[in-house]
Amino acid sequence: MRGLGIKALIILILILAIKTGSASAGIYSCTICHSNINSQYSKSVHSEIGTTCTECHGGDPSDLTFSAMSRAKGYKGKISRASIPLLCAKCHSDVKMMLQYREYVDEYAIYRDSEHGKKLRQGDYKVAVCTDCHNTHDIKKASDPNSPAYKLNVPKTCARCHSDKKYMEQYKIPTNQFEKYKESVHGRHVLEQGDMRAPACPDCHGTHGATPPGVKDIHNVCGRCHSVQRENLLRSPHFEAMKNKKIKECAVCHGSHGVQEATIALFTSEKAENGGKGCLGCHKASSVEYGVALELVKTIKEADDAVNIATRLTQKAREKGFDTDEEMNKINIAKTILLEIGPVTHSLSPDIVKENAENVIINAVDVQDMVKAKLVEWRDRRVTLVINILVFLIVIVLLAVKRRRMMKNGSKDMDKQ
Amino acid sequence: MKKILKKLVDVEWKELLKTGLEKRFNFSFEAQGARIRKFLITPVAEQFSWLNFFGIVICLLFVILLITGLSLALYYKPIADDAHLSIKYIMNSIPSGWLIRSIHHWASTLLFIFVFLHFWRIYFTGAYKYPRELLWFIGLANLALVFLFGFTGYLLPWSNNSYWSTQIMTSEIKDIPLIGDYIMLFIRGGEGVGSGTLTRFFVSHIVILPGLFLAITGIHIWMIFRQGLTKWKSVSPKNYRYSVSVMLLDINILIFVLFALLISLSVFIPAGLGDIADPLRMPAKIIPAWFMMPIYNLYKFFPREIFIFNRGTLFAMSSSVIILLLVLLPFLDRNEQYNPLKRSVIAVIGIAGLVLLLFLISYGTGR
Repeated sequence: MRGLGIKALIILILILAIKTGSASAGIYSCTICHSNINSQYSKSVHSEIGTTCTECHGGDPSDLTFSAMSRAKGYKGKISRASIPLLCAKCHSDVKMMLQYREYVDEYAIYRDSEHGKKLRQGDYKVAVCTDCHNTHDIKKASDPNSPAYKLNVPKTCARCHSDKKYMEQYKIPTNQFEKYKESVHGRHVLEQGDMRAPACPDCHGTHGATPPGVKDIHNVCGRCHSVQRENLLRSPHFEAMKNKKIKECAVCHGSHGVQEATIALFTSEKAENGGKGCLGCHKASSVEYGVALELVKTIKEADDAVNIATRLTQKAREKGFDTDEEMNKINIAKTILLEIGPVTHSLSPDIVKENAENVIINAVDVQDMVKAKLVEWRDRRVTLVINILVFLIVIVLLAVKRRRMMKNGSKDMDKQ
Repeated sequence: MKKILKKLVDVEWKELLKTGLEKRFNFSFEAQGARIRKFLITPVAEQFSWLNFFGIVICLLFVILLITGLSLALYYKPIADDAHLSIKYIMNSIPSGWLIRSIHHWASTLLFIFVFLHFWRIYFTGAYKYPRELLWFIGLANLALVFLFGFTGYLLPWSNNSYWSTQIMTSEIKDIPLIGDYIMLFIRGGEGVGSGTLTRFFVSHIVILPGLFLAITGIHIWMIFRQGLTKWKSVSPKNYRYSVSVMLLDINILIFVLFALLISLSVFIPAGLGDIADPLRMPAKIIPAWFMMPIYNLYKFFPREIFIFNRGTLFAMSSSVIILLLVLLPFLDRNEQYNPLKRSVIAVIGIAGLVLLLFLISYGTGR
């Protein structure tokens, strides 16, 4: 009875194999049993270029018996986590092979030196390996929006492990990075607006070489995008002090994962919403340094107020039907210079900040004068209108009186006729 | 020299002109004066009410539009690259340019309002009935011309909204079966809305349409003089007292009222301009001119396809039916009464049509 069952199973496998094989060039036994994996794999980038199961798992798919999965035929079975990076590197570190796909070949070398790679070599198999970020069988190009390695998906991919408190327990690292990042200015741009320019995790920590930036490297990491801020920071008294005292540079004031848009409130506060510190967090209110901060605040506020008044007046003139394109151009110039003041404040030089602020105020005052002239014209228009309407009303009343008389006289004339 | 001057002063010029004209043209001042005086005291009609002023207001507004439009045309450049800038120039650099353009804008808005009012007055008072069928047809032609005025004029500022709404409205025409493509090409003067369209619209707006409107309105007014006004309610003897001279005085009052209204509107809500047309930047909200909303919304309400008919075919068919019903109205309404209260079916259809029209105008304008 048992033998009959095995025979029936072999016949069934043969029928399925012939049926499947007739659809392709030859017989491919893996898909007979692993059809679910095949359906995932068929959508992968590897399937597109014709890579087969044997490249990773070995074995002989042309053999329709279980011996296809024997050690003799090079079958490796399920790949252990420890072997995955090396297995992927077999192709992905092969210059000749990767050249045709214009792919990098240094991922494995970089990965080995990453925090993940180092720990894996030490025997910690819980750390991320290739398949954790790229999937196993349904691997897609990192540029494919469905890939977990796609820029906009990366924060969630990293968070799968790094937000798991239990999983991260043994490493003693925080697990709130994603929560903070989600609310940060960077996170909002990436996750809500799909802004590819804003940084996701790999932009600061690296991709395959994932590692936290060192204390002294932060200005370089942030400075890759915020170059003007970095330039000004390097010439400020802060830079030397931070270097000597090993202070976390940008992150001290702006926080790290929870970074928010910096406002002038940062100058006068002790703690910032982003997790960083305001000026009062380090300097006493009576200190000379805090005096500089107050001077910067005053200068920025003056410039900001001038722009706000100019914008409000322009809006008013626009509502009254005036063309305000020229004023808007000037306001945009003023706003651009005002925007530049933010990075310049990192120099902590009141003179440099004042120079920029004066340019803002000159443009804003120009606009205010232009708009005021238009608003005077608006007042004149209304005065003229009132005079016109009065004249019209007098004429209308006179005509109405005349009409009354004519109606009376007309009736008499008609009666006569 | 002095003698010549003295002789010239001594001549009785008035007498010379009078006798000269009488001899040459058989023109008598006394006779003409008496005729005019008689005409001025003639009763206008057996029945004349304020409702009859709608037509007069339309004529007055047309004259205002003609004068302001011609003034604007002196500076306007109907080329895609310059049109928007030339309007800006009119608004900002020409003395009172903003006022003239705003009066033009508001006069056209009021024109549409009064055209609608005039239409519904004619409809409800049965003024289309025998013997005024021809007057009704000509009125319908005038109504179509007013729509074309609005349609062509809306594009001329070459703002992004006007550009895109013209793009959409003209592409709707494309969906009309068989001839849609040709009509669209003819209107646009090319595949897309561009300089060709602008030139066509400008010429239509300032030459062809005003010419047609003046000719048709002339015939319309002549017919009214020949056929008189509709007597749609019981005649009051008071109406006989309403002479031509009083009517002319009323028109004068009306002119002052209209000007006061137009100038006030222009000062408090001047005509806007918007951003320049950009074929690569479609605005998030495209709203056609309010008077084109009924056509725009009617088109949108049709599903993309019913059986073998696409949206364009359905729109063309329904519009044709509406136009045909309006044209045939004098023959379909066999009721001899004029008073709308005694023509309940027509009154109910009219009210339903009015409600639908108001709905189609207002729907989607707040987007």
